[in-house]
Amino acid sequence: MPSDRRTEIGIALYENAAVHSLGERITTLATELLNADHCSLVLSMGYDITTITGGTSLTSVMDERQMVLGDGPTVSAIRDSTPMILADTDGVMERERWPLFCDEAATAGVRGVLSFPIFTGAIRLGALTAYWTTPHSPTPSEYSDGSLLADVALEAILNDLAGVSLDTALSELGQDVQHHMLIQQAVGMVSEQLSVPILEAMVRIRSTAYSSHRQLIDVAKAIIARQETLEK
Amino acid sequence: MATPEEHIPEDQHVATDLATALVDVSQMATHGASIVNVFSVLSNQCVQLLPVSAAGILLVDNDNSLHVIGSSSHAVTLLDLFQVQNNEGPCRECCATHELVASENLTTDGRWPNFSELATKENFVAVYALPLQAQDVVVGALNLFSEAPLSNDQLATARSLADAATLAFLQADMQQDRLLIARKLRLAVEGRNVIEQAKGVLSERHGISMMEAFWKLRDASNQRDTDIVDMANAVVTREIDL
Repeated sequence: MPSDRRTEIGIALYENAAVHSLGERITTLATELLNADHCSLVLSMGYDITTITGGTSLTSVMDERQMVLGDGPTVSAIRDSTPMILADTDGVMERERWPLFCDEAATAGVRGVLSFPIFTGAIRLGALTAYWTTPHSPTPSEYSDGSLLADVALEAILNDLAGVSLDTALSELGQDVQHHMLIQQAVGMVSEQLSVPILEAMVRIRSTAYSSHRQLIDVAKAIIARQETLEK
Repeated sequence: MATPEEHIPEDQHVATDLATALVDVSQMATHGASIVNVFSVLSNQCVQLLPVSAAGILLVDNDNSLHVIGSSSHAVTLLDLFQVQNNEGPCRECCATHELVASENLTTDGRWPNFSELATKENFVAVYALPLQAQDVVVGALNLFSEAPLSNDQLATARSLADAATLAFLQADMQQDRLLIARKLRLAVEGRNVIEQAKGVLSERHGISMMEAFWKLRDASNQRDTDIVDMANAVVTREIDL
């Protein structure tokens, strides 16, 4: 059962949805929750297409350099599907782990970084990264808010791709549907049936549920019971 | 004719088996096995070392939701899933109180009526939930299902196994903080999700059940000496054709 905090963060994310893009809302909320100086969202939906949304000019440079260098906490977070903490760009451990990135970051005035992957199972969507201009070790509440936001952001991005309306997205906020075993199984089945990547399978199931006014879990159950096949 | 083995007293056998099991679990973690793998081995060890019919492991995520990570049988996976979805059962209570929760007779125990009914249908009489605990943090619970109550010694063995699993999970480093624990929990849960996605792919490809798909995945990972989560990832991303 998801916590109230997750729902709170979700509601905050859907505020001003008519005015600002999803990327802008995710990074603005992240900046606020994590007490960060800058935040950015990197999405890699295709195999080599990477879009950087939200964020500031500083984060654009930092994100771009990480992609070019293949080095840095955002790159590691996406690759290893696990959050990365870089508390101080002058730290010994940090410099050992991300030598190229630490040099460039320090020059640009970045001292602390925290990056959360946005993913579920084998679906790797990207990462949400916070930057500080002073060294920064995240507090437990910053870390847990960041994880929850990355979780809610995943839902929001999938809903966006599936064309789910804002009202429906909001009403399903408390459900934490992503982690349900049966949904993950159905996604695997559809991916095989339609010969599409796993992300596309997940989006297809979601849009089917939405357009037929059903719960995601019910569509998943019908697919697993082989009572329902999605069209190519 | 007596073989040399039979001269060893029974309790010494148990102690040796337990020691071997504990070493196995900690070695797995040192060699970088995924948590899903470590916990699957642990639940199987419980069934081998103790007179229990089945064992299951649930982890608490950083938003306090429970996730089924490993189990020794399909029936227990379903019972554990039931606890997660219906917010009822010994595991939930164990994670909340940080204490052992036991019921030696489910038919007369009125605490979790729906859960007890399901468990009784599977011929389980007694159930135990032991906290997987490190310092003040409970990372999850070990669920044991048996056809008769366990002795105190047997529960102590179960506790050793649970502790070993928790330490393996935290890679035996007591300095680790809550952040790292949260991070590892999430990784374990997502490892489970990758496996579920791979089961879906294999089930569809070969027209087999989810259970058979899991066996296929597990056998392939054993044969190639690959972690089951890595194998699942390779199946889902089509890097490997299983």
